[in-house]
Amino acid sequence: MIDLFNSILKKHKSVNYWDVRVESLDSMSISSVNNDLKTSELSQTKGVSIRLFNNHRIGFSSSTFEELDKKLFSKLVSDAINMSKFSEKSELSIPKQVNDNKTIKQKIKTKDVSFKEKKDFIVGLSKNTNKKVKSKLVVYSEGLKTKEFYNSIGSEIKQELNYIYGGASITSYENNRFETYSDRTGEQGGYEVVKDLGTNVELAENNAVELLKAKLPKGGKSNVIFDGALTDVFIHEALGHSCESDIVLQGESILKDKLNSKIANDIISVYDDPTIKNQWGSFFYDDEGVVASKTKLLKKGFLVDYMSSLETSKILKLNPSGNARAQSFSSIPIVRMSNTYIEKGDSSFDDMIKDLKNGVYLRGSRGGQVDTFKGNFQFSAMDGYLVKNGEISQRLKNVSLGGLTLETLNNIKQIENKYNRGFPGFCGKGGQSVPVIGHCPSILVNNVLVGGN
Amino acid sequence: MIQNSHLKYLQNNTDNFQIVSSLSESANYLIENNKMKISTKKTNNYYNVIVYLKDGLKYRRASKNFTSFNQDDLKHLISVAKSSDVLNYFHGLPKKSKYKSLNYDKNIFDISKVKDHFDIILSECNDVNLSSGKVSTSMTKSRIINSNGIDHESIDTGYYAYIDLVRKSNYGDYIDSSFIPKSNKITKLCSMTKSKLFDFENTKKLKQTNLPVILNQDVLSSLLDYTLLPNFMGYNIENKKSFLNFNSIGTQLLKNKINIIDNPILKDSPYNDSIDFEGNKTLKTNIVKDGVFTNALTDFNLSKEYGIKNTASSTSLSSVDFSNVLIDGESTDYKKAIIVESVLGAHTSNSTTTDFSVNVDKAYFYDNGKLSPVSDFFISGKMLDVLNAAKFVNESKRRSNFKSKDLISKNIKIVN
Repeated sequence: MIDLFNSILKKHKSVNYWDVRVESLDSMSISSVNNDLKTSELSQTKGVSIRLFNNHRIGFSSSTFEELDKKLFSKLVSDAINMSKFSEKSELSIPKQVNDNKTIKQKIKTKDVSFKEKKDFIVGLSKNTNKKVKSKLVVYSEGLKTKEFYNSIGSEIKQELNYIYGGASITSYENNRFETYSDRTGEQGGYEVVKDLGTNVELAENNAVELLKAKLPKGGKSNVIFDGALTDVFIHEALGHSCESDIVLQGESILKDKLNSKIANDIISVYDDPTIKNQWGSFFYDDEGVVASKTKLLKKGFLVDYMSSLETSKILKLNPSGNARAQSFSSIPIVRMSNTYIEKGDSSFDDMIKDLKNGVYLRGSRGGQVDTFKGNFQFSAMDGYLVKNGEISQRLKNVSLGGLTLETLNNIKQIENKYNRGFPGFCGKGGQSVPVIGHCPSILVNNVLVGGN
Repeated sequence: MIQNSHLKYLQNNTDNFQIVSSLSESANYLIENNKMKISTKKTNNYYNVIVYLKDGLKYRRASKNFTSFNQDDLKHLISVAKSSDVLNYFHGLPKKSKYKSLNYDKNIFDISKVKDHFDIILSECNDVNLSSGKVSTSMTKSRIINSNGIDHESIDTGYYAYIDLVRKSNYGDYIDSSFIPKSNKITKLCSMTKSKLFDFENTKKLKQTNLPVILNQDVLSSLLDYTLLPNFMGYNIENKKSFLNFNSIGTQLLKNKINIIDNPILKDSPYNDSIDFEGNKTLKTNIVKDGVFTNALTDFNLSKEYGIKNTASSTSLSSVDFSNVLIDGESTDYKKAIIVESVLGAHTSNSTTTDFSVNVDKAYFYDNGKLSPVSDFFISGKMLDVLNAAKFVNESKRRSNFKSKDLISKNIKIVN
């Protein structure tokens, strides 16, 4: 393949650097509600893109294809060169030349399990026998992504990533009141990833029914405990995005000019690590051909690094961290997180509840949003509990919380001594969505604004 | 390319089928830190094939998206359909109807015209930090073929421009966008966004919390998207993910006379189309009229199964959605209120209960004509209760796919 690219691109002497990504995606999804198969959809796509620096101006073009031949690739090169004429000059760090081939191992290969078996499993899990459950939605998806990367310095990288996901969303109903709860699991690997999906469905169902008795929280400032799932969202949204060097360079991050400054309580260390085996957010090489590596972002409260791409690392004089990711072949790689987490501390969960004394314990996440410029955020928990005199009491619903990132990072007083399970998700930025996750411990935070009645 | 041999194969080996092809080209001009950062061109060719196989009185179904396909791919799809469960119902596919393409502006792909737009953005915003911006144009050629005689072809063009401006102060950033490809609109987009940016430089903490709250059109739109509107989608009703049911069509949903309309044929709108995903001719539909729930969003099969109107709202297999939303009701005036301009976390609202609790990013305290920017508080409530006490204020505006006046309600709680 690289010979085809070289033969066409060598004619364009003004092209200083190029990289080409060729991708195929084979995916399937199944959804079932109340023992009734709703959708089963298959997908098979192939595409290619070229990013080139023409006289140091970036041009990009992409296309789906049936067959990647000389005619199609010549047109892509011509389009990218034409588009580069509108861009201002820019530079990038030149990556190391790499030749490698990596594959996610599957214990039970998805292709060895029939569609019927998968469908029967999901439909069976959605069987509803609970009178308080109105809707029991169970979903499954698998996606085998083959990514090839080539560049002008001779790199040839092939990686196969296989994403397996299962989840449940339950709607309960009693006395004219509806509640919803969801749970999910997801990793890279084979069909074995969803072997315990029944546990997730059961958890979601039990919680949806119990939420029927939950009360709305009293709004205002409170000391709170975030469980691992909520800590994951906080670390990802409030801190992680502000550590993305493209956001820093756009002047949109509260962490601009704060490298090597103390920004958080000294019990806090935070990492982004795409090398964790089989994790939802893991990869072997990023979409600029840079080997994936663990990046320490915060060390004992000090901001020690940003996540970067080849271009942002050049401007900021950093080592490329291998965080340039693209949603697909048709997207430009931008700086993204992978598996982002806060390092575990030394408090047991029981001690944290006792030390909280009076406050709110929040569990799970319905998502959130952050303004990285102002450093304010909003998150919603799946549910929560009131904590009175060091004991968990009344269940709460529709609990949202907000605050300022830097203030909150300094108000983290305790970190649990173990990592909790992560919840696979997709992070959106610049119109692109990529898989991310975090396995975080619970944290105790003082003085958080809790939204409620 | 859809070949005759593919159609013949599907005619001979299935009982019903639908193929949707879409060939799109888009050009994107991305701005960063007041400079043109990168320009991109994308070509995407996708096919969606759905096959139906009869099994006694019932049907089985399978669906697949391809970037290209051959007879072996179709054969595999049919084998998947054979091992799929029988559908609870299938009433066939829509028949051919007459239509006219709505969105076609060949100038959109004329780079000399679009270049004017990013030149305007760069020049109008040169006195502030234009942290990021974008001008996008697209053209999509679509074709829908089904076994019931539909063979529609259409060409649609699209346009989108946005700017994100930053000032060096605590509250100095503002984002706005336009879907109308006209130079004067781009100039106005820049001047309005700059004006808002300067407005929020000296934001103060809100002191008074017992005031009626005004949701501006953007905030109302995003909160409705994640609270009330999903409840009108037919498949959410069928799957019991909605608090509504088909039997409640015709009943009073809201106490006051609010109207909610879905209009996929609204001119100059981002989500208009002459036909839906199934090939049904699109139409304007009253969803709520004078507070009465009048129609749920449906497609051909949902409407047949439940004996209700086909609103031609299909967006993909077993999926319906809103296009352009118009909302109105009784107008009023106000002297003192909190005007909410933007919020964080609207998407975390609970659609089944319509509860929301969101962080207010930007707001004004309004007192007899005087506007003071305020921030750092939450608003929360239940959208059904909010609408039950809602009236409408200020001018009606259209932004993106949503048109309304601003909404004022006493049933929104302020928390700080």
